[in-house]
Amino acid sequence: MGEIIFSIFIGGWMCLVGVLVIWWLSREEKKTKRNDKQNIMEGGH
Amino acid sequence: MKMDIFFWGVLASFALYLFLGFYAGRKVKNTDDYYVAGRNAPTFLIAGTLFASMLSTNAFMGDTGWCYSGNITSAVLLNALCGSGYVIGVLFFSRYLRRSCCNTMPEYFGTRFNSMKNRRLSAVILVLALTAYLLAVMTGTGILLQELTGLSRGTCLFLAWLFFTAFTFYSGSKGAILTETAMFLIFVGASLIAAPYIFHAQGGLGELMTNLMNNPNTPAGLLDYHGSPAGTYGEGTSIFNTVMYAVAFGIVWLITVGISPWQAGRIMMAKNEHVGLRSASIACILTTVFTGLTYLMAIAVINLNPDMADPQRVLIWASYNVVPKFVGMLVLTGIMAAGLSSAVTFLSVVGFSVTSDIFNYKFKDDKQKLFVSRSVMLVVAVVALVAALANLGGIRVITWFASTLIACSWCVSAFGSIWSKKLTARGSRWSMLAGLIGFLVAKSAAVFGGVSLMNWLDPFFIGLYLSIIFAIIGSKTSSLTREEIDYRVNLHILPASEQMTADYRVDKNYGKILIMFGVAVTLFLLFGWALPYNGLI
Repeated sequence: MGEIIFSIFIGGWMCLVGVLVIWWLSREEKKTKRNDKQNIMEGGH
Repeated sequence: MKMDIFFWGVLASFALYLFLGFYAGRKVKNTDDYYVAGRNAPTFLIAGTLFASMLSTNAFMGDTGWCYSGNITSAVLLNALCGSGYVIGVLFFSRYLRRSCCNTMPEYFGTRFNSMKNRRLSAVILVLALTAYLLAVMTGTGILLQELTGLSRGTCLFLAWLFFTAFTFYSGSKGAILTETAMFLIFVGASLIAAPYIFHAQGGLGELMTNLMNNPNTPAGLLDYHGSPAGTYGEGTSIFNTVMYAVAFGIVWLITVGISPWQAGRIMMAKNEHVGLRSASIACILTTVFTGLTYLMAIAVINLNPDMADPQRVLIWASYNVVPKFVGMLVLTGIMAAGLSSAVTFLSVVGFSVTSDIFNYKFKDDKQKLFVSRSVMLVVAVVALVAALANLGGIRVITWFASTLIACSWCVSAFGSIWSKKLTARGSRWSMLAGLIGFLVAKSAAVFGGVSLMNWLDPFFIGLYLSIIFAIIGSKTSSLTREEIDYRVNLHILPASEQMTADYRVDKNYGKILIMFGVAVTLFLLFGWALPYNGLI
């Protein structure tokens, strides 16, 4: 049983790292787009 | 002197590195080129240098020997955690380090905290730790070269030193990353070619598990999830502590590859932050998957040559006795390359810090700084050679300074410099000193005093805990300056050049690749080991 948990943990950890990359970058990209929209709106006034 | 295929193979590889180093050196025009390769290196080169800098002769000899002796699962667990440090390091530290546009990490600590004291202290710690690491790697490489050529120890040390010093001193970081990537290709390529021969010699990869299960010489615990307790804290270690050993040291190495100057500092050379992240993702995959392959090769040898007197020679034995001579030559050249690539990195990082951070001389112009940088690099290299010839690298206490010391001393300052609104210059300085002294005192108590310090009380963690405590005390007894506050705020401003949607799309694909590899690794372990071992298929 320990071997099965171990196998899932090793691959699962790599998957988690991949999810972290996607999530963090998506968050950053959203923030960047929000700032750009704000700048455009403010620039329009 | 043995002038066989192994000798000529190593010589040919040295000639290749020299050629690449001098080719790169001709393109070095200023200190930006010399220190950080013009901050223009692409993904492939950064990934190559990241992975090559981490792997040394220790990985191909020490770690494979550890696996052969019964701890392959411990090694796989440790490396899975370690590999994630590359990505975590880039996301939460080294991309911000890159934004600082500094040439060295001590320079970053100095400008971030507006303090020459912080710069010098971090530089002194770096120079001490990495010179010791350089000595240890040179000694390992010299031993291997002795084995391959039959030449004397002194001659081998001198030859190895001559080759890596020549192109490092001339071409700096530009040469370092090019030669390291060549070395990376050699050791990865050699292992990929040799592995099928080794697996085939004992009946094929598909038979590896069955053969080991039926082999009376298989070390106890090899195929269990926890590995052999004897390979961690000695016979009688509990299963829990055996597993925690791998977890604890996995975290040690996670932090080390995340923030240490020879890893995080490589991201400063990347073309942009996206390249840094992509390279880190590749290095993460290689750390888990490629090292896993070398470990499988090591345990396959148990079915061919059990009970080796010196398990560290397992891949060397296989190179001489199992694979075709040409392939064996490639493997040994690859192991040599792993040692040399680490030596190149450490020499360059130490040389840069001595010039820029410790002396802080006001140079007339860039040309003068470049000349002085090269001269200092040469002096550092000569000092390292003399120390290696005097066999200081073989002294155990020297290796304490190596690798993990710098990580436990700098960890709090590195992440805190980006994410803490309260960490002051004094807090950072005290935390570095406390980490350093705490580690050394705890390590001395463990080795000389026989004090048992396991897992979360390992000297690394004692240094880390003290580092945290003194960061808080130091920060509470001093105040932030306007410069420190502004610098941190500016680090969090994403440069316009880094905001392209197309770049984010590519980065997220690397995240998906990490997930795919994770799934593949789990399936491989489940169907190749866990399920058959438990009699479920």
